[in-house]
Parts: sequence; structure tokens; C-alpha cells
Amino acid sequence: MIAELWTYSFLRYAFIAAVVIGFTAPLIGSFVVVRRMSLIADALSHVTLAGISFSLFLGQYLAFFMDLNPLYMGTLISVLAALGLNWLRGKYVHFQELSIPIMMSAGMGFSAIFISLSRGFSVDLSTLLFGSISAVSQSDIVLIVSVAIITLTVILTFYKQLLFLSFDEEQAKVSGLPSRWLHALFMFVVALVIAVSMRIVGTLLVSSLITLPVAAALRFTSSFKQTILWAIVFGELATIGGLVLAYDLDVAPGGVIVLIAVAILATVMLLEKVMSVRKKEVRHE
Amino acid sequence: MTTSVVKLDHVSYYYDGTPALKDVSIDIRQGDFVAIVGENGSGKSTLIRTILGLLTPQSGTVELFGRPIAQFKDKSRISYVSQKAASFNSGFPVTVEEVVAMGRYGRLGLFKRLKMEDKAAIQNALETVNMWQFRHRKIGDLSGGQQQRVFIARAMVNQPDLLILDEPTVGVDQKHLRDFYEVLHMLREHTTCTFVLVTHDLNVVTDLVTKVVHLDRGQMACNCGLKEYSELGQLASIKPYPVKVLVHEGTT
Repeated sequence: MIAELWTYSFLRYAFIAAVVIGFTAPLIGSFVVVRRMSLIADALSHVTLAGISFSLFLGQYLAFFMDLNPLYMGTLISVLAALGLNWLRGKYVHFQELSIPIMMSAGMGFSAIFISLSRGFSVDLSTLLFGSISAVSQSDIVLIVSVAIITLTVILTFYKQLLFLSFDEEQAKVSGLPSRWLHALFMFVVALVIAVSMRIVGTLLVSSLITLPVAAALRFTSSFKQTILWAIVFGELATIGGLVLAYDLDVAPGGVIVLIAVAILATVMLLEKVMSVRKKEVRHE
Repeated sequence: MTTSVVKLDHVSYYYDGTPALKDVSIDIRQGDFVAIVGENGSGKSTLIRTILGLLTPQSGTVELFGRPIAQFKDKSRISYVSQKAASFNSGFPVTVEEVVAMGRYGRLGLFKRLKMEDKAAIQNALETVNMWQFRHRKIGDLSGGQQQRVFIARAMVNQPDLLILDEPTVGVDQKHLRDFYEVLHMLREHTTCTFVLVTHDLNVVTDLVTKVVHLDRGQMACNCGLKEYSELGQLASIKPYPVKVLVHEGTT
């Protein structure tokens, strides 16, 4: 595949997308996981699908949408949904997790309607659900790289504040941090990352890329910076490895990427077990 | 006369129409060690959250360091150790040093990094509670008592003028309770900080307390010195918490 990267532009785009998403998804995912918001990724990815299918549906009737990258609409709807999730969490103070199935159901409902109303999309539905190597366009790359720059800027600028907010929200408020504003900004970035990540891994598997590398890193790291660093390493291994394997096997990249991420997690857990057994043996000696 | 640190004037707070604080007036002066006591649901935590500005009372006024709470911006003068500090997510991948550093984030501003003076303050706070050697350890891997020391270090890292502790020993076992109160005594001795402690056990701090506020179903049943409070046992209106050691030098 490496040699063919220089020949085929679609492979180059897919590779760039995989590298960038392998970085941004675990980066923002580290905060998502420690804030116990993993399922929000699922809700937002389903809503992104609704946005994409809505754009494709409109494209059948309006020339403007015909030429528009559907991921733009998906991203916009994902951001709006993130704000909606925030609002719903405020409405259900004692049952905040309810906001997730509400938003997810709405996303799936709209997706089903737009898909069934359409007279057949120009893109295969499975590429939306499980990602595709050939689906990544030049305009997707512009969007994915832009989102990565926004994400990195926000994390570098507000790292300390976001960490404090994640660890102890009440204390962060008492310290005078603008917690509501920071939370809205965080949700905005999460929505962006989820929307653009689905090009490579697909709607159904986006949340795995956000959470699995972090889940593996959490098993052995003691500081938050270490967690982020290792999650990115695992994310890159999964996306680049998954892309190469998916190309060779001619299957959807989403599935392979996620299975590699699962394999990394299983390996880390196995190594953890082996090390703890060895430690016990040393203690007995 | 010492300056006012916290002043509540006829403060009432309602949760969905149910009163949690009713017409509460308190004046906490610089150097005071105030114990807030009362049954569960008596409004202790609501009172603390009102002082911290996390709740806005429906009536009455709150002043911090002589200024209306809405105009008070120097939050680093106030530190807080909550009940929840003991029940944090122990799997959170954060080191002891990172936790204490959080105490400096509020005063750092949004775009600044920790400077040498911040790092020195973190080291000083950790050394004060004897936890400097654990700075690279994950907070969740420490014992309950050690975690409490770290949260106190975080609270003290800004050398606050007011330290508020809301039942900080909930869930901490007897052995580590002693550790905690040792640190509290040491802080009282070596700082000029004003302390507000919500507690169910007055006896362990009788030599520190200068004032007792007893809340009863949101109303202030008593706002007096320790000696006066111990004598309330003869009154039928409230059931004061038992106080074994009645009077100490320096207490009122």
C-alpha cells in the first residue's frame, strides 16, 4: 500500500485522514472518558449520520446541496446536537444520562426517514456506517485537518482548565473557572471530532476510536499527560494499521481499525495480568 | 477589631419552594474557627454552597471580605474541601502533583502556564502535609488519609485567607481521621487562615473552635462560643452535639 500512496490520490487522502483522526480522536477522547461521557460519542455520531443523510436527501432536489460535501451538514448538525445535549442535561438534572438515548433516537429516526425518502444515494450506505478508504475526498481532508487544528488549539490553550473541570467540577467552579463556557467549548470540539472521524471509521464505530485507545492507556498510566500520549500512540497504531489491512483485505476500514484497537486493549490487559503474576512470584521468593 | 471575612444577613434559600435556609445571619471574623453542626438535611451544605457562591439566595445578602459576593473576584483567597473530595473517581489518571497544581489554575488565568513560583507553592503545600515524596503517585493509589492530605494541600496551595471544609472526613476510617485532624491542628498553628468546618464530631476540634453555628431545619438555632454551646444541653429547643472538652485558652 505504501508504494501506491504516491500513485493514487484517494489512498493519500485516506492515509492523511487516518493519521490525523488517529491523533485527534484519542486526544479529545481522553477528556471524554475521564468525564464519564463515553456514550455521548455514540449519540453525536448517530446525529451526524442524520445530518449527512439530510444533506444527501436535499442534494436530490437542490443544486446547492448536490455539490456540497455532506460532511459539512453532518458536522453542523453534530455541533447543534452537542448544544442540545447540554440543554437536555440541564432539563434532567437527576437523570442526565437520559439525554443520550433521546438524542441518539432522534438521530437514528431522522436518518431512517431521510434515507427512506431518498431515491437512492450516490454513496453506499455501508460507507456511512462503517467508513471507507475511497470515500475520503480533498474537501474532507481540509475539514479533518481544520478540526484537528481547532482541537489541538483548544486543548493546548485550556488543558489545565479542562483537566480541573474533568477531575472536580465543583471545585473548578469555586476556583472561579468559567465552567459553563468551558463545557460548551468542550462539547463543541467533541462534536467536530466525532463528525469528521466518521469518514474513516463510520457512524457505528466512531465512539470506539474515541474510547478504546484511552481505555487501553488507562490500564497502566498514572498521570493524565501519559494517558493522552499513550492513547494517541494506540490510536495511530489502530488507524494506520487498520487502513493498511483494510486495503489489503478489501474490507471497510472501520471494522479493522476498531478490531485492532480491541486487540491493543486485550494485549495491554494481558500484559498487566502477566506483570502482576510476576510481581507476586517475586514477592513469594 | 478583626475584619469580617464572611457576612450573611437574613439569608434564605429554597429548593423548589422548600426552605433549606431560613433567615440566617452570620458574621465570621478573621482568625475565627467556626464549626457548623446540625442533623442531616439541616442546611449545612446549602449554607456552605451559598458562602462559596455556588447558590444564590432568594433573599438576604452575602458579603465576602467586606464586599458583596457578586463583586468579589479574588477567588484564590478562598479554598474549599468538599464532602465529594473523598469520593472522587479513584481511577482518574492524575498524579498527586497534578491535583495540587489544580489549586493554582483559578488564579493563573486562561492562557498562562505554571511558573517557578507556582511550582514552589505546590512543593511547599505538599511538604506541609508530608506528601511531597508521593508527588508522582496516582492519587487513586493512595490511602484515604493520604488522599485527604493531598486535597488539603490543594486547598492550601494559594495560602488562602478562608478555608472551608464541608464534612471532609466522610468515608475516612478512624486511623486516617487522626492524621487529618493532626494536619488541621498544624495548619491552625502555622497559618492566619480563617476556618469554617462542617462536622458531626465537635469533640475532635474543641481546642480549635472559636464559634459554633448549629443549624436546625434551615434555621440558626445557635451562633455562639463553644462554652455557651456546651451549656445549651439544658435547653430543650435543640439537641446540641456533646462536647467533652468545654473551654480552652483562646476560645470564647
